[in-house]
Amino acid sequence: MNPFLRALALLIAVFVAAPMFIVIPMSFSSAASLTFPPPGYTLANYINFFSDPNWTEPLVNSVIIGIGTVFVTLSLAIPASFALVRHIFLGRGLFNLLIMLPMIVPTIVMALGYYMYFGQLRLVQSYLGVILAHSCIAMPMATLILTAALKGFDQSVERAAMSLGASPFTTFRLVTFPILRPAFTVAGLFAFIASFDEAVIALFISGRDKATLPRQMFNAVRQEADPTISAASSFLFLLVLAGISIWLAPQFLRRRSGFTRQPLENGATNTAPAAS
Amino acid sequence: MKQRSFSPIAEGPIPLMAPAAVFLAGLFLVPLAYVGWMSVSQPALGLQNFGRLLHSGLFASVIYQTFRTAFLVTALALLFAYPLAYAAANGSKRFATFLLTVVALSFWTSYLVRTYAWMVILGNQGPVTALLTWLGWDPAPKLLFTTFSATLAMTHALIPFMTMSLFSVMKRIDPLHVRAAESLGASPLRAFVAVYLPLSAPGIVNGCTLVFITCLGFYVMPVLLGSPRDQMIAGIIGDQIEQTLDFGLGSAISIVLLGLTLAVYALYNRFFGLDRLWAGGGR
Amino acid sequence: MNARSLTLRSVNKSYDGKHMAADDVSLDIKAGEFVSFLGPSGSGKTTTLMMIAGFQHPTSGEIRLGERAIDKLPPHKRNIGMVFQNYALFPHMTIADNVAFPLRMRGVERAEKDRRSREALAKVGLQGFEKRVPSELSGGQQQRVALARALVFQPDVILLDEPLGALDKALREHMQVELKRIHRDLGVTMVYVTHDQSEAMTMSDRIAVFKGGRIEQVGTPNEIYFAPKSRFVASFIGDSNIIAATSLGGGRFETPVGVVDTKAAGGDRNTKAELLLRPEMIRLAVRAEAGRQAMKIDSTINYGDNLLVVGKLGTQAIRMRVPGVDARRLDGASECHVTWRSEDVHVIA
Repeated sequence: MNPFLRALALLIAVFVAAPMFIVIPMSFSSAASLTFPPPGYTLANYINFFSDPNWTEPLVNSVIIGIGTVFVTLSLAIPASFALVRHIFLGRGLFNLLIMLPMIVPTIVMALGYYMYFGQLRLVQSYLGVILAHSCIAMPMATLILTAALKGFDQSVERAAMSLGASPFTTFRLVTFPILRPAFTVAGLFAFIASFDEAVIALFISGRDKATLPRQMFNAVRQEADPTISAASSFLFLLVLAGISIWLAPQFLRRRSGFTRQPLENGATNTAPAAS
Repeated sequence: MKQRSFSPIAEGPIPLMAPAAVFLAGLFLVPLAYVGWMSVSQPALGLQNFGRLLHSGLFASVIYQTFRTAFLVTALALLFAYPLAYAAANGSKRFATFLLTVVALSFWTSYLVRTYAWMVILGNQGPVTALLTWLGWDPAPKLLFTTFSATLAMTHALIPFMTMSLFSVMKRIDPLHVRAAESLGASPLRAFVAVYLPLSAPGIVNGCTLVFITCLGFYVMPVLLGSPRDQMIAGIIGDQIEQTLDFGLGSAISIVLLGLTLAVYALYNRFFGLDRLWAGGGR
Repeated sequence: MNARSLTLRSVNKSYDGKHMAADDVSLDIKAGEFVSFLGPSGSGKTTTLMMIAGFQHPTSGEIRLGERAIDKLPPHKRNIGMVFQNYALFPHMTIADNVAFPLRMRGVERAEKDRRSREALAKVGLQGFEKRVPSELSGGQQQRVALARALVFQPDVILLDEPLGALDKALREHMQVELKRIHRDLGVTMVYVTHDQSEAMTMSDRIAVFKGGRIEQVGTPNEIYFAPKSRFVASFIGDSNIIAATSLGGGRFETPVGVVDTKAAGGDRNTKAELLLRPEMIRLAVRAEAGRQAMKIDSTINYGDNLLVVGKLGTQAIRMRVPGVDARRLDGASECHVTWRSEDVHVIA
């Protein structure tokens, strides 16, 4: 490929990645203001992040709400995706549209709606309210992941299980679910992250007591008063970095090992050096 | 030979779809309808709120600002994302993995972390100001809390979306097409413009649509990084909730925003069909 | 193994009330028999198999296993083994767990379960593979595991849905022999769906030929091959010459290739019929027969062990297969004399 193009792509990649890395040195900054480079280094911000209830409570709230969102979303999205992929029924298109709607409607509009509606239902400033709102937000993506996995799922293993004596429920438990578990996990992960990172709705309906981490960060940025925001940002960024590394690691390890197994007809396997 | 689908869970689709359908109806459609209702009933029944907006010069400028920014961000994101996606789709496996990892890293970073990062970078005690001062631009201009900073931050945040839309289409473009064009006498540039570019068009359209729509409703970054004098729509809705508490007006503005968003989707649907958008372009 | 008979009585299947996926299918399969369902795609053979297995419900009709009517039973209660084209092994289980699965469903104790699994694997020649995972096995090996899994619980019937379709030719032929051997050893009733007629011919005790949802003919491979009851069956199996004929009475017919004698009984004059003459039954003659023209040769294709001669006899396009040893007699010839025995001519209705 054109070396100029390679250089350009590299440059753009650096532009895309670099700005976020700045939060890491900032998190160790001893200054209260946004001075860069930091005048001195300290762990105070991190200590504060993990000890000041102004930060630890939102962190815990976000985790609780995230987990709640995962449960609600998956309980709804898993059966819905089965309905969408395995059944043909009148209104299927409409149902699909309904599920995708939260992706279409701007979040601020929903935030206003929830604020007014949940306000009536006394659901503001509660875990439940935010969990329910976040579940709506997470549904489209979770359903997309699940339907994609289901479409690629070969139903003959289910038929095989049934022919071998497994009832429909046992088939689901012992065959369908284990095979789909990775997809369920990914969908759940997306739901968790969607909820954990969600700022706009949480800003308006999570209330001061049940504030989420993004809400706390939003206010901290707005007021520019609390340098702990740097530790919070760095913490989140490093989580993403760690997550991606963990996901990539198996691929790197496999390449390094240099050996692959090849099945042979006579039953032995040949351990041969990899082509690279 | 058609093989009827066979679902071990339930005989019919109703018990499977009912929970999600009921949930979304009650917890999504109802609040949405509520917004619509409030827009025409607060403080009194009628279309006064919309009338106010129609005659408001301020609102007109907000709409203009929002669209202008959205177009700009979309264009810039496309400019940056296209070479990135192209290199990822056509480069060596290692290079592509590297590029996609960077994109993934950016994609998963929350808006608030980015906002904080830009505040440091563009702040008057940050590296950019320092650089400009060192280059002789003294006093350095204010970079933060301007339309510039908001636009930059949004573009940066939306490049991953654009890249992924483009990439998923580009990955399916058979390199033989371009080679065929070249073998027929086209220069590499000509071959690209005449063959590759049109083939990547679905990705461009998808990406631009997604990015544009996201921009229209963007809240966090414009509010935290943008200029308070040049607000975008989402920002003034937020103002109604937090400050003026005029829910009728806020709802009316929301309906306008929703209408604009749906108009863009309708436009896309008319030409391409909505499920193409979510399938990642090209089937 | 306790094999059972399988009876289908007037089984119908229609999805929309108009098009019949299975049309009045009736069949008596004896215990221990190997029956193939043969036909092109969409002929209803797989639909019928799925109804026997319980994955499709007949619109009407009855299916009996031995004495038991099973058409109302759900698939997991039918005790029928099944082998699928894409093996359908459970990817998340070891080979041992795959094979032991049906035993687990039946509550068999651990020690016996392990023993029987190992025996089943040994029967298909895969002893020692217990700890492997399906993704580590080749296609042929996976198919054998699927077979072991379907056998281990000693089902009454085994259904096979084009099980060798995904394998390459050499492996397929090897597996055909294996399947026959297992069938002989175990004596289990087998129903085998395929679109490959040579496969059906070599393996089956009887073949049911499907077309458009109906069974055109059921018979032994010889009956199907030498005495097909319809033009479709005649031309679907093997190479054929179908000759339009008008009866002259007494088994004699007027045809485009001339007058043809057959061993068929009586027959009224002037009724129309179709005659089947297989290419390999036409032989080179040293001299012309009485009343028989010479065959004009258009082209020949050398298969090594036989030579296919394509040409015309009278006004009819004719294919003839000459044994390889005789092929040289036709070097450069543009016509030749042919003959056949009257008992080799079959009257198709």
